[in-house]
Amino acid sequence: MRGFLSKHRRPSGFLVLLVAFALVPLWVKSPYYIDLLVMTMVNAGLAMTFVMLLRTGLISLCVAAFWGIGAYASAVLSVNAGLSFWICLPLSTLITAAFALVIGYVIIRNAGFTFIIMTTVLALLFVTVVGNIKALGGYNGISNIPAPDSIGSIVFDTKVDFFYLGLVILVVVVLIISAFYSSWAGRAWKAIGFNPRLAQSIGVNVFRYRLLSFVVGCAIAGLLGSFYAHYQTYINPNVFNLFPKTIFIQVYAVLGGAGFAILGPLVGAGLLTFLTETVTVVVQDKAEYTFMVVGALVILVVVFLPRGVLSLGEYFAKLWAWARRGGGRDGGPQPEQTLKSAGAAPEEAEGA
Amino acid sequence: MSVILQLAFDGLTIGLIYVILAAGLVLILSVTEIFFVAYGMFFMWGAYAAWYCESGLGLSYPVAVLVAVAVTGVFGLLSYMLIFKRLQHMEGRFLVTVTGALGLSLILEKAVLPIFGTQPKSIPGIFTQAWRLGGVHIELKKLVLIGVGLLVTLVLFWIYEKTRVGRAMRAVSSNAEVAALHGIRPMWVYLLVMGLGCALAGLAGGLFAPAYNVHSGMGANVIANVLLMTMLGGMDSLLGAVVGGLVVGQVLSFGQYYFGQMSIVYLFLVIGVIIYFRPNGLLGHRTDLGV
Amino acid sequence: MTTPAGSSNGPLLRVEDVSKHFGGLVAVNHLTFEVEEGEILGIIGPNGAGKSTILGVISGFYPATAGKVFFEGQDITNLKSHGIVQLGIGRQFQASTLFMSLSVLDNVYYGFHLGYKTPVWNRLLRFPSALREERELRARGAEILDQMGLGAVKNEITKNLPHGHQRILGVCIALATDPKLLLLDEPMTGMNQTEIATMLELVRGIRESGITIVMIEHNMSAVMSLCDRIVVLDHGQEIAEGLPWEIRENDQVIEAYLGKDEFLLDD
Ligand SMILES: Nc1ncnc2c1ncn2[C@@H]1O[C@H](COP(=O)(O)OP(=O)(O)O)[C@@H](O)[C@H]1O
Ligand SMILES: [Mg+2]
Repeated sequence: MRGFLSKHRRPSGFLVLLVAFALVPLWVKSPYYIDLLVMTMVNAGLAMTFVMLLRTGLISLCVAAFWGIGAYASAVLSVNAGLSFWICLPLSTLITAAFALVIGYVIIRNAGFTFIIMTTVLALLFVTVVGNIKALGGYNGISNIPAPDSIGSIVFDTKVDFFYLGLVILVVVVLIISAFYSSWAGRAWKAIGFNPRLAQSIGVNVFRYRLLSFVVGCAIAGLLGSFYAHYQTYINPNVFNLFPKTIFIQVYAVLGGAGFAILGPLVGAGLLTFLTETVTVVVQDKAEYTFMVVGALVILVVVFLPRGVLSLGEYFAKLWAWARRGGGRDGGPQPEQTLKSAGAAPEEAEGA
Repeated sequence: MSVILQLAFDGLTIGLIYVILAAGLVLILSVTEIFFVAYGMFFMWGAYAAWYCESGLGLSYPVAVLVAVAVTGVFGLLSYMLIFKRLQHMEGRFLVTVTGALGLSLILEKAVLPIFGTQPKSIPGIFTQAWRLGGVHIELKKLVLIGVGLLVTLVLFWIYEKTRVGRAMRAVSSNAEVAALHGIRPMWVYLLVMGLGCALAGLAGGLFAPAYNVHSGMGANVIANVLLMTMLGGMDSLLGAVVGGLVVGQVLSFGQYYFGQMSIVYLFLVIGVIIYFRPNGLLGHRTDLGV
Repeated sequence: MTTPAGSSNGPLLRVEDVSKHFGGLVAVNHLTFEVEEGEILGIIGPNGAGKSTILGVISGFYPATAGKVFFEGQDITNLKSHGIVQLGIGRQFQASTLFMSLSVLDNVYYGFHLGYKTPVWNRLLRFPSALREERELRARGAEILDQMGLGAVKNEITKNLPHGHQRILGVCIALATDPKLLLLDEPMTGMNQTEIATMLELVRGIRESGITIVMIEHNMSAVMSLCDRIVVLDHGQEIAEGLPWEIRENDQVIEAYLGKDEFLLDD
């Protein structure tokens, strides 16, 4: 990795991006666009948790379900128990983590197709179960979820307030995730994703580290769910369904580049959230056309740009480096070779 | 008593649909090792195609089903040739194939709406005879479904166990590299299996259409059940697909009656316990699929 | 039966009547042998004799069907592989099983997984102690690579390394787990004559640093010159055990290899 994506430039690069992003509401006044930005942040956070588990070689299709658990926990705690958002947020994170611990303890023993089937079914069951629980409002969901209590002079009554709240939450999430990645836990995750047998042979407890990744990822999804519930003030089970929400979460990650744990989801979620809206406008609010266009886009991306949009950046960086060396000799990088070697998504996974 | 018989009969009918679906999915999962989530959408397309040929084009019902089979089979071949053939050998192929299949299912699921409209469809007037036998309501269309389902299952087993093509499938399923050393071209087997598997989904859809309703949510609804069955029976076992399909058909038929919608949840819990103790399912051998 | 852990009497590793079945196939059949501290034990035998399988059982990758394995007097039969590494048995794999898309140094660095002492949250909060530990481990990784002759290529991406270097890197990763006993599965396969000579030196060096070695190898001259003792397997059973010259002249061994021209005893 060279150029603008290089490791030691990342923190400062992120800081610049962050400041620029934080200034956006100064120019953009339309609540519609602010809403899209807030949803981009939530989506990006969810996609980051997807990538986190992917790093250990597991594909989870129930990210949205755990997002939903967090949202429902928070909604119930605030609407029924009358707790403040500032208490609901950590509590619902913990509740989601507890669910993840119990469920993960059972399903993480199986990798590959079995795991992905388990998560697919769990995702669909979430909707069925919640839809059938009267206390949770069934398929009609829960409405009138209160906004966060004001802190000092900050009152959460406009979308811009939520924009900054979401931004703070996202920054915390990114800090937590990147700290995990740069610790030995993150390296153990990656080692498992690269090759579970080799990981075992260096002493990694594959089950325990996969479970850790699952629980941390789900807890973050729950945190975002709590935020989402209080932002939307209304939730219903179908929001958290497999089709299309989890699919979209996976697509954010792949579109940006699954090899890029933080930047990939940010770019992917940003591109797709805005693109979806643009398409919706173009096709005049026919949701089915929007989904079809997104589906086609997904296929084009995995076929022609399997390492995501960001791998283009690496390709250009290599091209630039090659041009600076004066070109020639090895004939420069071929697009395909470079794209294939770019990124660091788990490869050559094999069974134990 | 008659309620129980009725539920068993209905469970058998839907169970045979599941058997066909699960058999096709087992072939695809075990041979190509592509996690083909779009599979449920082929079922839906089979049902829509049969409905359109019968009601829209005025073809006779058996012909309509054959057209549905052909359409979904060709869809399957095309999707392999245009998409999955490229994804299958990429680095990180598990992720890209799953993502590609998800994209495909988005397209297929939503495409029926502008083409066929949002109204649920039905094919009335097909095999309308019905009898009462010991308090059980037996419709001819369900009998036909059961007969065809059994026949297809037998033919499928014959192909898989006795013919050269079937042997090639089994060889590629257990080890593609070794199979290639024995002169089998895995690519052709993959292509064949994708075509055959999707055609089976289409057949199930075509058979499903007159006995039940046709709507755009049916693909997403059915995929979880079919995935559960393949996991229960074993993802590399055709016999497992049959057992899984029949068992799940019965369990859901009785479960819907006694527990309502939550029956699928209980079923999942039970299957989860079984998988906990038998990770490769009741009759499967490989645990490493997609790992 | 059990001797106190770490006692100087008693073998370092004892494989006691171990069998391993894969379905109906008997890969290892009632195998018993011991490994003394400080020696290099060679395991030889024709293809499919069960050599890799017994290493898999010792290192916990396959549960034994019957029998027991003792390490430093402790029963490790039912431990998981990651637990066994922790006790001090490192292993290298038969194929080039490496983190192919990482740099050479990172491969060894990842191998230090058990070496991290600071808890995660110290790293989360970027405490200097955690950062210092990482620097130290990196330095130790570079040291291992220098000792094993890979110092010059430590920043290469692993998949670009020549085969011989990849093999050595596999040993380096195992060394990073700080083993007392090192299991090597055909470390010299596919190497040319000079690479084999290098590998011989490296293995001797590892032994001199106090690590006991069990090595599967097909290259007979390498086995004969390197090993203190040799166990011969055929069809999952031990057919001979002894010093290199004894094995060379053992009729049963020669018979087991007869007609298998890939294993000429004298080359
Ligand atoms: N995971 C496995 N599953 C089934 N059979 C296996 C497995 N691993 C090895 N075998 C079989 O066990 C026997 C011994 O294999 P192995 O220990 O690899 O032999 P060697 O290393 O001596 O060449 C062989 O017949 C092989 O086919
Ligand atoms: Mg071997």
